[in-house]
Amino acid sequence: MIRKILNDKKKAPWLFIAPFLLLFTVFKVGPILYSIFLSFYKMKGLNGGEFVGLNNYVDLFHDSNFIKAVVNNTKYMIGTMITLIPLPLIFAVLLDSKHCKGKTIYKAILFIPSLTSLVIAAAVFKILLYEGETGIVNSLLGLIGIPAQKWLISPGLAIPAVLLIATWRWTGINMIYFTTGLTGISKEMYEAAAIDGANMLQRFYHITLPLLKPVIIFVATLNLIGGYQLFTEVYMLWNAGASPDNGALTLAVYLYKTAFSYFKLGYASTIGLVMGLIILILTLVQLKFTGFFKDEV
Amino acid sequence: MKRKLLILCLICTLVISVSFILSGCSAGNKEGSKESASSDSAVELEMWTFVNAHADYYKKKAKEFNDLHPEFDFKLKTQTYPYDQMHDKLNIALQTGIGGPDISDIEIGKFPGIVANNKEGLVDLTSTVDKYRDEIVEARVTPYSSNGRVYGIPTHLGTGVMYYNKELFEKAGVSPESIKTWEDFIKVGKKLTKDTNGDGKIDQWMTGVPTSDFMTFNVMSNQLGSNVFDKDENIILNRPENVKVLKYMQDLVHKYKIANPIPLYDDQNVYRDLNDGKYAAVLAMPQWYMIRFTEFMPDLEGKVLVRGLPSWGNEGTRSSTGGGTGTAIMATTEHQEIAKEFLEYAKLTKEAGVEMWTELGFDPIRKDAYDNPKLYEPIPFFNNEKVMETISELQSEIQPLYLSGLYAKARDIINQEVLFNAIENNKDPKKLLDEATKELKEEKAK
Repeated sequence: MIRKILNDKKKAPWLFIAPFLLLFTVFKVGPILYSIFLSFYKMKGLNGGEFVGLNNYVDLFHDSNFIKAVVNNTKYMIGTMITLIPLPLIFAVLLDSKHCKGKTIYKAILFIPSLTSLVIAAAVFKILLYEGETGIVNSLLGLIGIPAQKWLISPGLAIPAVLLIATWRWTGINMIYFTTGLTGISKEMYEAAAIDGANMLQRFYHITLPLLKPVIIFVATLNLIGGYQLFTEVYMLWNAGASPDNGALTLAVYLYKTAFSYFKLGYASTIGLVMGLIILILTLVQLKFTGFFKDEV
Repeated sequence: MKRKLLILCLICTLVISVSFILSGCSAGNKEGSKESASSDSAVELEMWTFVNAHADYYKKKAKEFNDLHPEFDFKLKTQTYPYDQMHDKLNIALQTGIGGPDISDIEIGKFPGIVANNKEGLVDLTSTVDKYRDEIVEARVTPYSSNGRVYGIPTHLGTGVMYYNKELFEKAGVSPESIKTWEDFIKVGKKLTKDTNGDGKIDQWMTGVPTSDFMTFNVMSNQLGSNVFDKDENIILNRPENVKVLKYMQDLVHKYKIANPIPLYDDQNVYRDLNDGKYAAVLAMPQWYMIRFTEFMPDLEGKVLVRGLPSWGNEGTRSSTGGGTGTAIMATTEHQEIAKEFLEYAKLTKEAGVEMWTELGFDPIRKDAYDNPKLYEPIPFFNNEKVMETISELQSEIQPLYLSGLYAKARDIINQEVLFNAIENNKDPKKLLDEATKELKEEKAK
């Protein structure tokens, strides 16, 4: 029997991915289906709920906190697109240049933040972002004549503060993606372009950027997904995510609070599902927009 | 031959991973059966807490308890988790009925939510607490009660007090003793708020007003007998007393300009500022804030004065309370009676009351513990004063604190919206509290 399946080219692969599929179904698909079910209920704890139909969904779109969270996540996501694509790309190109000495040291310096525990990083950033004039970030701003900012207090600065951490933390990883992409570009192309008289900027625009496009799309997709899943930074910077005037309230923080502080598991499931849908739709739109689904010519 | 070997390897992997999944599923059951099969004389209880010092205290008490009861072998396994993680884990354990401890500390802010949603998950401790009703401060039992039943044993009193920086007061030539009312506080505050280095900016403030932590607000409103909920869990957040307190906090910053907004007192930046003498007073925080001084503000050694809260004139009292931790027993425990007996021994006896102070530095809930001379040893850090003398004078008038299942939501709204908009943005306190009350009432109706 087994021998027969193993020799069957169509069935054998299924047998081998069965363990993964089994785990995936039990621990991923199961909970997702269950949360769809929960989202139609008003739950009191895990036991005993009351069927409320689409009420949770209706409430959600009238919930000012939810809307605030979507706006905050979107701001953050756009911010990461602005900082976390160009910066790592520039670093990657600079480090790829043959004029650069001590590459490994620079790479290590840029990569270390990704390895740092976020708990410690957030504690350090709390000191850096201290709102007084003696705060380190504020002192630096003072040097260029910008008055001290209330970083972690003023709601308008909450997302920029999180962006600052995100940039510090993820530049290294994104740089690695770009570096890998760069090594795939043949040096001959640059040489040929140089012979034709193209300067450095022209070479960057006409060779590096187009050839790195798949990597850029990949990083942008990661930014988008990460942007809507933002949780730990906010949770750590403010006391369990309690940012003033909900300036840094994100979908994930709101979901967490709804489920574990307010015990509204049905409503929390609704938030989770809608959050998943937002990510899915935006990712598909983005991939479509950037031509990811087109066949390679 | 090679192909056969490959297939064999793959099949082995498959079998191992499948059996791993199955064993994962059944592990829970195995553990359960082992526990019930253990001998009757061994009692091992697991306890969760979110404070290391609590764990050490309970371990010490467990040893003593074991010596008192030679008939069984008592062991306490303590597990300390970070604050939020512990409460989340406990919640899930209570909801699912598996994987929880036998005993657990639950912070006051999390307690009402847990009780409202898992009443049957916690053991009713009313009979245990009833034995000590006359000896303990009743006001501290109400936060851990629901419909007259007690589900948690309080840890400390959390008396609301003021902390003054003696050095700064002396420099300004005023005495903290002259502050009898909140009016006096403003008068004295004007003398202590100044620009010390002459750069045109104020760098020494009378106090800091928290914009994202409602402990201070809670302590001051409790003085007036008010709070977020009344005895019957009605929302009373927009009561005139609360408006008065919020208005006062706002005025300190905007009208009298003697206070600087701070995020919260439990914050590393604020510890540093206090340590550096940026603030002359800590505004209405509970007694347990003393521990923050000794732990995080070494430069203030010998300079901190602990005093009672100023009064609201003819209204209210000088006493108040804030914060707290209740210890609960999970209904899933196999040794309910022994767990009760242990908690009684570790938390409710007179001896335990004294040790709350000597071991943990908390003001005890046992009234008669205040007779013990051990509480009145002078503390060098706090100007060599007998701090407990001040506290014991205040404890008699403490007003009870009533909570409800909506407490977590209320706390979030006050922390994130009300305080911030009142103190940072100078918005109308009455309007803010009315809005918050409306939001909470809508939430309750849902």
